[in-house]
Amino acid sequence: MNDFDKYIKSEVAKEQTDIPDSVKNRIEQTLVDLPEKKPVKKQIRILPRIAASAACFVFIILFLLPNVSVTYAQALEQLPVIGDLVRVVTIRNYYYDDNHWKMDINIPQIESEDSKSVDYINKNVSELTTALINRFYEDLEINGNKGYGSLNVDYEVVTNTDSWFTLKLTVCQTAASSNTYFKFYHIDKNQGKIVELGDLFNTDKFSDSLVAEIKKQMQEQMANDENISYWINTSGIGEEFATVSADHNFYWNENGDLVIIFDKYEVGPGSMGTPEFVIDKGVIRDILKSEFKDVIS
Amino acid sequence: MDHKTNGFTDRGEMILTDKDAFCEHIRLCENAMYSLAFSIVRNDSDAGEIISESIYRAYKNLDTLKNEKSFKPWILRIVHNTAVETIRKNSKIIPMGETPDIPDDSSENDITARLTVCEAVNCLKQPYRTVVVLFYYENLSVSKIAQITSTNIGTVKKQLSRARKMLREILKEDFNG
Repeated sequence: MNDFDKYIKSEVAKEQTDIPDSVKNRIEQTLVDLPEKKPVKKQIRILPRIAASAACFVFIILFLLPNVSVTYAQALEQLPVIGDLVRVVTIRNYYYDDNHWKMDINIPQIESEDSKSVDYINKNVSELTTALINRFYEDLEINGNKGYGSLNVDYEVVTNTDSWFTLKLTVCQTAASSNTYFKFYHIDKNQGKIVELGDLFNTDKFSDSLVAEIKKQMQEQMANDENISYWINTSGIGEEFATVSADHNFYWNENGDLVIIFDKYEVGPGSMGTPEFVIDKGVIRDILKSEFKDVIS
Repeated sequence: MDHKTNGFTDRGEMILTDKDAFCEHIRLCENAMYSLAFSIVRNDSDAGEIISESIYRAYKNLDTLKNEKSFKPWILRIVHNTAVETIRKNSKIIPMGETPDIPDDSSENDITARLTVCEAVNCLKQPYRTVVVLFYYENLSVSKIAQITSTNIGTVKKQLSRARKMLREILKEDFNG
């Protein structure tokens, strides 16, 4: 061993510290959760057949039944009847659980007289959830009972007033690490049009205003709490937060302020979850189109 | 006939269904698992998730471990693979080829700006950071590191040599050997 190696090893020995409590506790909890007896390996071979049977069962119970049985479809309808013009129902639920892999998906459908924009959203939701379900079963076939994973998709009607409708789709995927992301759909009822973030503003440079405000809030939060961390003014760690795209997720809160929401890992480490930033009306009043100045009054 | 000794048979094979023996070995390796996972993702939250998933995977595939003495490189290989897989799935956690953050010359003469070895290691980009952690922190041989990182001995030697050069550069104020 050369002098440099000796030097590094001696310094490392002096510097070495224990692992953080949060990680230590996570390890202990994982060990506690392990089953007493290791599951039998031979299950791997039969799992694809079980998975196929289970998928078939799920298909019959949860896909075919609601579509052929009026009674069943009515029973599945959760009817958060929201306003006169728009309502959302759960048209399908997919469920699968084999103690290793779990899927629970509620697929919403918007019902409204405004068929054009509603049809577009329903089609988009259907395509997205179908892709997720297909991917889930592909992973199941490949991995068998090696490892654990889950997929949850649920929805929430965030806003439904005379002038505005917002549907939020939440996707949570777990495999090694967990990931959460959202898809928001908005309908401007006054114009009968689907609206994205970029449509709210009278300038293409809206991103600059939003990024400046969000960075300011990030810095304030980080200054007040050392546990908070966002990827701003960093070198090498994560992708520097620099822009908000025209189709970025947003919603209006109960005060009528714009809320910008980020997926997990989008602007910070996984520990930050899915951060939201409220943009005060006053900050963007000058660049908001007049018809969107008071969406929620 | 085999008999149980601390979760292993007298041929050195782990008793596959013995949870206590498995947990004991995980606890002995938890520092190394954390160092390795952190060297790749560089945040505690993701490192914790990776270790947790690695423990599940290891327990599930315990019958692929044939010798007690191989437990540490075996579990570290699982941690390494899980971390790399996580990075690929969530490319925004941290880019694998990020630029090393070597301090500029302006701080050369400032004694307060000197870096600890740990900080210097964190300045390295991948795969040098991981190789350095395994070699200097975990005292693993080049051949074991090659096993863990799924590469060959020659590659690890080259990576270590380059990593030494970079560390020397970063720590030149402190090491004058």
